[in-house]
Amino acid sequence: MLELKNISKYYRKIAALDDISLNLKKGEIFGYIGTNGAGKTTTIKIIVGLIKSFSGDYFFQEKRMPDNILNVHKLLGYLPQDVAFQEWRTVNQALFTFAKLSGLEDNQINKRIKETLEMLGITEYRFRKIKQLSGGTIQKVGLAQAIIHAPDFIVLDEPLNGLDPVSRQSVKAILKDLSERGKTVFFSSHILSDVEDIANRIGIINKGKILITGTKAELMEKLHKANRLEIKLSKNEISKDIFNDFPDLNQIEEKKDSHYILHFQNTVDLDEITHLIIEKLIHSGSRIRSIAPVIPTLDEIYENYVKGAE
Amino acid sequence: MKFGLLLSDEFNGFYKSKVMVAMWIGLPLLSLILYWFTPSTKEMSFSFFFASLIASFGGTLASIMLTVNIIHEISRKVYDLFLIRPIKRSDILISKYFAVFLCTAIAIILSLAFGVGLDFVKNSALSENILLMTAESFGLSLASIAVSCSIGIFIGIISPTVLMGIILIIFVAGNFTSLILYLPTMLQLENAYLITILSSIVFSALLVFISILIFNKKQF
Repeated sequence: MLELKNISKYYRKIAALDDISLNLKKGEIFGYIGTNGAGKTTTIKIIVGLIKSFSGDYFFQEKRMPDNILNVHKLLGYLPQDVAFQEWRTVNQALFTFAKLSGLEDNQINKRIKETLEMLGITEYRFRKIKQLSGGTIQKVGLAQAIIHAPDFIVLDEPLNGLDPVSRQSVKAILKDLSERGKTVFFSSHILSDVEDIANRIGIINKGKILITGTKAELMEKLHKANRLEIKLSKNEISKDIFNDFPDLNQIEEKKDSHYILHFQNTVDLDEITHLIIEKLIHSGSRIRSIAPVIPTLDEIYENYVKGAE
Repeated sequence: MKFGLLLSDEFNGFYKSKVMVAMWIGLPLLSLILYWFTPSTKEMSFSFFFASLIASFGGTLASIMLTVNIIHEISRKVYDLFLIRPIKRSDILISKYFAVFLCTAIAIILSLAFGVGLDFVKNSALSENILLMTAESFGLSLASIAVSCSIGIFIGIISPTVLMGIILIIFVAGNFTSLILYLPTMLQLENAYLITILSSIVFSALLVFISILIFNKKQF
């Protein structure tokens, strides 16, 4: 659906983006993560056509951008990082104008405003002036204008900023629902747990360079982090020395009484080693509470890639 | 159709602003007060005096309002939500221009109507001369507003801060508008009135066009 190839963007002589490439597939939720100033917003502004001068190739539905940016704009819903509206507008006036400018017919607009506000739980603010609303509610109105016209391609820059935990969950559910209905969602965040919860694919950007893109499983695989086993036994039954004989073992991490994490070399077959450990523990008369591979969190993956790049 | 929506939206925004309320109500009242306290105006008709004053104050206010509004909206990134939709960037500026022009024109019409009413009360009738002067004043006032609004748009696009925008308006806009409005008369050209109106239209259109070119190139 969308492809960025070797995109660079310089502000004076400072690289905001340095030769980045990524692609988006229809219907996926792509989470774009990086620290503040990593280049997330610059990438997004190029995608939505707010930045037109850059080097590299950008294709949307196989058409070159920004020459054909109207093709993007016809399908686009966009939430900027710090969404702002003209202060004199009410929520209803803002949504009416943006829905109409996006091509909705007059007879559909009222219904869509009602539905969208209901979906976001802000119906009671419909006729309030935007300048009277809290930051979190303005963020939701921003999201409302991005999805009111049911666009096929939704780009959201830090959409969960300023939202309370309940609202975060509901917005995440909305994004998942949109993806299930075939919409493509590209969103940025520096809150990794949010990305982990909803993204099908993830891209990590640091200092203007994309370090890696892929599903979480692919990222883990490339990091060789699927090499740990967590073992919980009944209290104080055995010494940790029992694990010493296993091949490819790098380290035994003792968390607390009878709770261990075994770190193996990256080449280990974790299924095979799990089987051997269970056998040995049973033979030694230990009572196993649980044994499972340790799945790295996105924080861990992110930290590894960013540290690796530095 | 999208231009019509933007225009009605902008008009809606501007006419509700405090500056416009001040212009529609405050300026006719101010004109009346100044008329009574300025001895040299006693021979002048109300309508002519009011129109001249409104054109001057109104023009400056309109250009400040446009400049401040544009700088403020650019800095707050209000336009992001418009620019990512299938509309022309030029429509955003042109709709703003005409919205303020219309609002200020309404202020002029109100003031002139007030002035004509006072002239009628003062003289018990309206002479042909007064009506002619009023019509000419109306034309010149519109020309002045057209020029002021275009300068307001231009300075709004090029100024990085509100302070610089206002300074430029105060020192540039007034002088430029006066130059365009009074140069044909000062040069004692034949058809000076017509030339003033035409040159105002051409100058405004050109400046709005240049502003659109700059706006189109602008990175947000």
